Amino acid sequence: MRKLLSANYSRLWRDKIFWICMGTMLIYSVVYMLNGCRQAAIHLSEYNYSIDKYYFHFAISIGIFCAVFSSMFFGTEYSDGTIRNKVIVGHTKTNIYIASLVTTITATLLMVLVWMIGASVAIPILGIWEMGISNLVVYVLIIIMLAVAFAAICTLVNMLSANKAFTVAISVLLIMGLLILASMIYSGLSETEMTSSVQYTANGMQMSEPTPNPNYIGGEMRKIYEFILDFLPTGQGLTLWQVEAGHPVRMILSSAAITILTTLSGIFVFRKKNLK
Amino acid sequence: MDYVLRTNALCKNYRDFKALNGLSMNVPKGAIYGFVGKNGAGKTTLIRLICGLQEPASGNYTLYGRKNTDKDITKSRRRMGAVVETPSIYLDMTAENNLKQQYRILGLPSYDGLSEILNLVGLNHTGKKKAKNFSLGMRQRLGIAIALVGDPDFLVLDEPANGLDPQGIIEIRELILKLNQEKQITVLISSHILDELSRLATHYGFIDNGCLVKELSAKELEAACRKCVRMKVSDTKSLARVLDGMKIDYTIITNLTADVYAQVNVSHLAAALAKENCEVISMQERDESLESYYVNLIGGGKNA
Repeated sequence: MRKLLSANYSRLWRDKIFWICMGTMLIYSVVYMLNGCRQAAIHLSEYNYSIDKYYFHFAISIGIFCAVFSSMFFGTEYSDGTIRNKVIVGHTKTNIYIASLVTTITATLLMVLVWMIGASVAIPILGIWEMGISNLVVYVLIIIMLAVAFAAICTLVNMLSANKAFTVAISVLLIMGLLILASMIYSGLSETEMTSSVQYTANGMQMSEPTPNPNYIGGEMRKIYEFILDFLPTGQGLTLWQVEAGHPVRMILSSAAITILTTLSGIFVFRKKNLK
Repeated sequence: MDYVLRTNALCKNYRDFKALNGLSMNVPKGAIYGFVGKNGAGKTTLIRLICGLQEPASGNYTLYGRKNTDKDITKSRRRMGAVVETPSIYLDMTAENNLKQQYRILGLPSYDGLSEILNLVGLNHTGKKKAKNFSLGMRQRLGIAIALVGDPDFLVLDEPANGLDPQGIIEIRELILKLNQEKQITVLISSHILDELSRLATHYGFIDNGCLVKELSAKELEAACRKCVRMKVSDTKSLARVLDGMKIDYTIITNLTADVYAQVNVSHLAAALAKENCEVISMQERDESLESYYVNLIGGGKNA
């Protein structure tokens, strides 16, 4: 395992896609936070957010970065045939899978770290986190775990698909699909229970009597929606971005469950896979 | 005899297609084992199995005495190197970095011997040129170089001359001979370029439809392919007496036929046989090459 990790890391440090992802993440974080600072400089209360509102924005996009990097990085192992070199000299398929997972987790966490460092550029203007240190630690922990879950999902796709182009496409589409699903669930949960419309009368604008919102999701269904949102890494990303993480333990356990399930099933299938 | 690899009734199916159907073969230590068969006969499938890339459906094999189901089979694999189908190389790396990567995969503590391997395969002057800019022959040699990292005793090469120009074929042949003769590396080569294989192999295995049809040494093959005159006579005992008297090599095939390994004077022989009351029924000159041997064995007409 140590040998495989050494080989993977050696490739990682010289991998162009990895450094492009890291550079993009850094530029993205700095530009996004400076834009937040600019908005904060406009003395209007609706734009006057704290750093909390901007700092976790990357949580929704880290999955895409993870998918692009890992599919290109491990797709090369199949397209160049170099995965065979590892098996031929006696490394087990289980070890190869786990080494790939650890490498993907490392790369994804490094991208998270780059964002966090880049985003700190806003601290002099927006100040430090209003949520407090304990909440910040919880948020960071959730982010680490969701990054690990993303890495586990991407590793599963990367190790089971032998076609590089297909791997890249399916990884990105899968994460995009999960993001759209999470957005739809979040949007559903954001519906208010009652709505009231604005009426123009002779006496001016008047609010009508509140009526039940037909799009409101309530009862057991709301609990299911909330669970799915907390379970999906993309859902967790959306929740963190909105600084609305209500069930941190459930989120962390969900990420752990996704990681364990995808890894165990991935290893099981990869061991039986016919490598060419 | 010591064997590096022994397979026992190996089977492998791809859905309904039987790629290997009870294949048993033996690769002796120190041999260059030529694995001959047409496209789709099962050569690459066998190589994938022994390299651990795929699992057999049934049957087993031993590598350096360890069964494929043993946990320790990985230790035997550590002693082998292989190039399966296309060379397994990182195209965006130089030859040197490709080798360094393999050193890391093997967990070797230093890069000792790296330049020696590059020299051996003739890639010591490639510098910063990336593998994607290499010719096919250079890539093939780099693939072999990677397979040589860690000083393997057993080298498996799947169609190493495929797609190479004549010069490239000669270079690969000389490299394989050098590895076998100077480093005592046992080599298993699959190929359907019979002429090329006949210049290298010390042992042959002929495969067809996933079965090993025939396994023999180069000496046995040479004897089978030796230039001779096949004679049909009325009594091979009389023929043997006459040929012994003439000090000519021969092999009795049946009661009526024999192979005579010499350019005989037909008149003298016929006269000598007449004295023994033996009639010559027919004489046919035979000169089999590996190619004709293969065609006779596998069935050229059927496969043409």
